[in-house]
Amino acid sequence: MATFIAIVLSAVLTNNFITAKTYGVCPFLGVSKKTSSAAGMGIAVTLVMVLATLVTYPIYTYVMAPLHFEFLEIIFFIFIIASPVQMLEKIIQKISPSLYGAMGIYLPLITTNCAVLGVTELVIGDMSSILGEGVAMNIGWAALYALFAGLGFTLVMIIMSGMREKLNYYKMHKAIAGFPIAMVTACFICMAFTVFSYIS
Amino acid sequence: MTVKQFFKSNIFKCLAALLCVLLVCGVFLTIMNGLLAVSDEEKFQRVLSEIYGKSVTTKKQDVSDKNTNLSSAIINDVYKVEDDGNYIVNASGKNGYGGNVKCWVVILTKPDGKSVGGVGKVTAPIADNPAESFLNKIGASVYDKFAKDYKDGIVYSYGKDENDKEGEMFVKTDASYSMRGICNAVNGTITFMNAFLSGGDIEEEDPYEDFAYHTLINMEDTSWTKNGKEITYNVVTKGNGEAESFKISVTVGEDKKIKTYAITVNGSTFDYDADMNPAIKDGSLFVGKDLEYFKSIIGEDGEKADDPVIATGATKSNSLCFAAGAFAVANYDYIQSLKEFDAYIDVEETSCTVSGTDVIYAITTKGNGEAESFKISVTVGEDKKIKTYAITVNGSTFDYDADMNPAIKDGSLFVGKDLDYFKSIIGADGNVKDNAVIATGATKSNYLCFAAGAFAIANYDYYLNNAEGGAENE
Amino acid sequence: MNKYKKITLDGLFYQNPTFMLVLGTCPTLGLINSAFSSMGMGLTVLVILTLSNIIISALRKLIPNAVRIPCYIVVIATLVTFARMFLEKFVPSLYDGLGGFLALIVVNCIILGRAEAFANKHGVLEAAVDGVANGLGFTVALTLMGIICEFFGKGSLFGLQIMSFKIGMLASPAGAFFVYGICIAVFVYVMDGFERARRVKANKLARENLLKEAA
Repeated sequence: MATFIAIVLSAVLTNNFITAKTYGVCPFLGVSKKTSSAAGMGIAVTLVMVLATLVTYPIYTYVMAPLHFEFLEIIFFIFIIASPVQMLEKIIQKISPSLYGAMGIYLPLITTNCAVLGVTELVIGDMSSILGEGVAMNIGWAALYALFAGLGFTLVMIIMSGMREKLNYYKMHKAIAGFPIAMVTACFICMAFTVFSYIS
Repeated sequence: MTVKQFFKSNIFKCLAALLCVLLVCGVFLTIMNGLLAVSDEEKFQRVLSEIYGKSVTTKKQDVSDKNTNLSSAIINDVYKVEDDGNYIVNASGKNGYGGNVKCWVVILTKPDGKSVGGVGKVTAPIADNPAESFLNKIGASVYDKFAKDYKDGIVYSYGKDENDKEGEMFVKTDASYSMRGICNAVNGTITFMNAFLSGGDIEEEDPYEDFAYHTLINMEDTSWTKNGKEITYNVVTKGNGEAESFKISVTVGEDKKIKTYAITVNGSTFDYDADMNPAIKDGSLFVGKDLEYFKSIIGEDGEKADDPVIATGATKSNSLCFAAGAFAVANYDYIQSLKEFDAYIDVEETSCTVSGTDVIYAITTKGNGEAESFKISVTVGEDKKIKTYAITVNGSTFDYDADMNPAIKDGSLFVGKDLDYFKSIIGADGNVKDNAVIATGATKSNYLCFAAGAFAIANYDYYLNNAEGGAENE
Repeated sequence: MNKYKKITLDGLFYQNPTFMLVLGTCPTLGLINSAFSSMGMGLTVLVILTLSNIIISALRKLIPNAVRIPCYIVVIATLVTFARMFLEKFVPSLYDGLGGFLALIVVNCIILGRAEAFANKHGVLEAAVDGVANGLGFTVALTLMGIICEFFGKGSLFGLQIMSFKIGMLASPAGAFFVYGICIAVFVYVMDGFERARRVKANKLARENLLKEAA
């Protein structure tokens, strides 16, 4: 139970992928102009993160590590991630063409989203500071961490898109409009999330 | 599609191209991995050169036969630096902020090489201690103080400010808890190295040294219940040669003689079972026997095994049965005097008076993480329920005071509660710390309050008999 | 010659991957609290980008269109793995400094982006120049922001303590977002000025030519 709470708090608040680790910033800046597409993107990324972790973690632990193939991990992981993304793309195209349209070029880019590769690399690394003493890492914790890291990502995406929707009403100098003002907005979200780091 | 068509088709080209690229890349990386892989030895050398500022040759010292698990630190590795004769020790200091703090400590020796003559560089690499989140606040000048302040017999300590200095060294770091771990690591290393250099070993602390005849008893799994003047043991023995662990249930009466004796699990292997003394096997031999009898058979030290009662062909099994009986009889007084739920109570500082059938305690708890010692006055009545409960000194630090359960703070939660209530919250062994009543944000403070209450009720009988009419306990 | 000049200028200024296209943001934001790490990241990407551009450009006629993206990813992942081994062996301090972001170079959009947009349509030499130009654009931008963030956030430069005054916020992700945003704004503003000046100059030239022809 304590481990569960630690994982949830760490993944969603204190070590949020965007505000603390700055993973997955490309879609965060690119698809956060509208709340609906931001939420859709967040959920898609969460799904891919969990799927990817569920596949990569056992392959790394039970196949690559015993055979000393660790050095091939990047190639393996990126290939493994590419397949669920392709699958998800086909599924979304079938179920919700509007969502597919809204996500535009960013859907295939989930493959090249650092949040997904990042989480798979994180869970095979040293997680002892999050799990607490004496708790062994296993696929359940790995998937749980991926799920809540994805939900934390989604949360920040939604907050960001809400603020950017409001920003649309203001006319700004050409140099400030677009990415610069989005970054400064993100800066304020990060500052707000910094407060969570006092949870220990 | 014929085979020929397939080889000419686009699918084949795609597959071939992809596979070729993969194959070439895989082969390339495998070769590169062979050439560039960094071995563990090399990683260790890097750590060394970081500590020493240059590359040095070291020789790992064999410490496998020493006691490396000290009360303040665990000694992981000891290396002798060939260049200057110093030692580098990798030690995990206990009690840091998030567990043990892994440190590297350089130890200088006296000219004769038989004892520690000084401390060199000390570091706690941030990369090795992910749980110590404030470690980066401890600067190089703090680590240097270890070397500067060294004198024989020093025990390093840390502190939050001048008034709160807990030993001979004071430095204000913004990471007091990590600093505590580092100090423990250095202190443990000095203790260990002094023993190591002089060729001796640190006496292993035996947590059960107060128990008699426990060499053959598995103390961790053995349990007992006090039932008025009787004690019922569930003895679990260790293995003894071919004989594996026995489980034996023994009851000792007020006269310190065995009342009942029954083997619940017989650990004999092969056919030794058949060779056991039948009177031992059914326990009838032991009933009514006192300590003198056991001494006469297995000797004062419990190691004699040539008595005809034991040497029936299954000596090892018989010995274990005797050990269990001797343990039960010999420890009767000691166990009667043991207090329950005392893990978080500073028994030395706790006093109590008896007034009629009420026992009035002035309990002093130990510290618990951030929470410091509480002083609590508790009255337990004849029905073994709490009559009054008042916190006289609240040991909460920072603002945890405000997060405490208000019903705990004014004691109203406890009044009228019996031991079963406490067990339901903190568990039968007092180790449950996440019940909703406790986990209000000031878990450690709340827990101490519960520990005090449980201690008061559980030891009512003992104090009623031993702290006659207002006499101070112990 | 003019062709290479244009590629270089595009990579460094007009299509600067960091400031104009805003690609490869994750490592940028994650590492600009340290000038050393950000410069190391920039140079690593520079080398990988150049090599991947050369390899992909050389293979562009051999790889069928349908499987080109997986092939590019394999090539890039190989280069990243190689870079990781190389740094761990020879530059361990940088290897530690880059942390998780080293593996994440494989998903850096700049590299796949240049492969897809440029290398698979151009010759080996052009692709190499493009890789160096874009890599340099990325490195310069990162180092610049790294210096700003480290100087104001930690009071040091490349690890060397200079002053005790510091604004801790600038060394955190929040500060990274802030500095990055402001830098983009300034860069866009300046480039806008250049663009306008160039247009004015071109118009003037055209007018003079017209006048000359008329005369």
